[in-house]
Amino acid sequence: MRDDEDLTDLIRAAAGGDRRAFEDLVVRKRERVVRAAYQITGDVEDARDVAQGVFLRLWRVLQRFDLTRRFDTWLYRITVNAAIDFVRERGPKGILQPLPGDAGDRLHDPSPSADATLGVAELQRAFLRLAARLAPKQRAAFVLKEIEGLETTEVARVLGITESTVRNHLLQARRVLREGLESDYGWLIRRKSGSGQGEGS
Amino acid sequence: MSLHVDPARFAEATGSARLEMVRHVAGCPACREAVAEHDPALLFALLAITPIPARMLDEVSSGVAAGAGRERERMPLRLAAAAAVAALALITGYATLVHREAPPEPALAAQATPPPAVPAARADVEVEPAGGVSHVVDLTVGETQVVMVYNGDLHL
Repeated sequence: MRDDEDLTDLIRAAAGGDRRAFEDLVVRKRERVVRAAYQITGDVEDARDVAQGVFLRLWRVLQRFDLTRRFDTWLYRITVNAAIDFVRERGPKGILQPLPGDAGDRLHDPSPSADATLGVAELQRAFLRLAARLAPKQRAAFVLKEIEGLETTEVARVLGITESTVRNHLLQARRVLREGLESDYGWLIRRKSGSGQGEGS
Repeated sequence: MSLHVDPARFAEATGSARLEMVRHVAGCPACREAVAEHDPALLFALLAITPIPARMLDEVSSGVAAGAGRERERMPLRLAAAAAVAALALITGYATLVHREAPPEPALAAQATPPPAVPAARADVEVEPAGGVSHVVDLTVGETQVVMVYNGDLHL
């Protein structure tokens, strides 16, 4: 609750033109914005450009934000729209660009088993390749619901569509991704049962 | 979280509860296997904890700070331009209003003065029937309709 109050104070100050408060707000929200932009654009540099554009837009329009509404939903909305517009203008990307190596390549399991680590970079590459088969709104719905962990109602608000349309998008997206994983990345999802890591690459 | 995660609950979870489950599943091969069996696409939920490189986040912050500074510098210029446009619109609107309120005097005179006895004038004119082609010229000005019909073959 205290965090919410702090955030409201920060937004109010930034909306009043306080640059320091705005920069604090950027620091607080930048990881979320960059991650969502990256999962939708599939490119590190594009995600950075989108994120910068989102925050500059925020700086211009923050005084119009209604403090009784959820700030994150509003910010996601600006981010997703900017990322989708960016992808539509840019067109499909030929070369996939995973996050730079200092992100930490593997999700570590405390147990000593060799099979216990799942390569997050591999999972990320698989997502970028398979999600390219989705329509922009399907991809955005999947990113918001399954990666960012938003509720369906919030995803609908962010995308400006009905909840049933969100459910349809998710159904389609999960089907495409599931089929892609099973056919192209079987080794990734059956690692524990003894499949070799390089099998599907 | 020490207990294993139920994949069905994992699929439905949102917010901080989901993030907690994601952290557990990322480090627990048994749970990952269970999640993958339930729905392989759910594995992508693990991307929620992909750390974004600090360098990239700093680039975003510095780019935004520089951009916001430029916006601030441009702000007085924008305000001045907006004020100039508003002033121009005000002057144009005022001029239009004044122009409408004071219509040209000839129009008033025309309304006040009864029209000349056209029928009498017509009666004094002799028109010899003739063929040929009549030309219609529209000389309408504003709301005043003026139409001239010209036929070179008519002899008055």
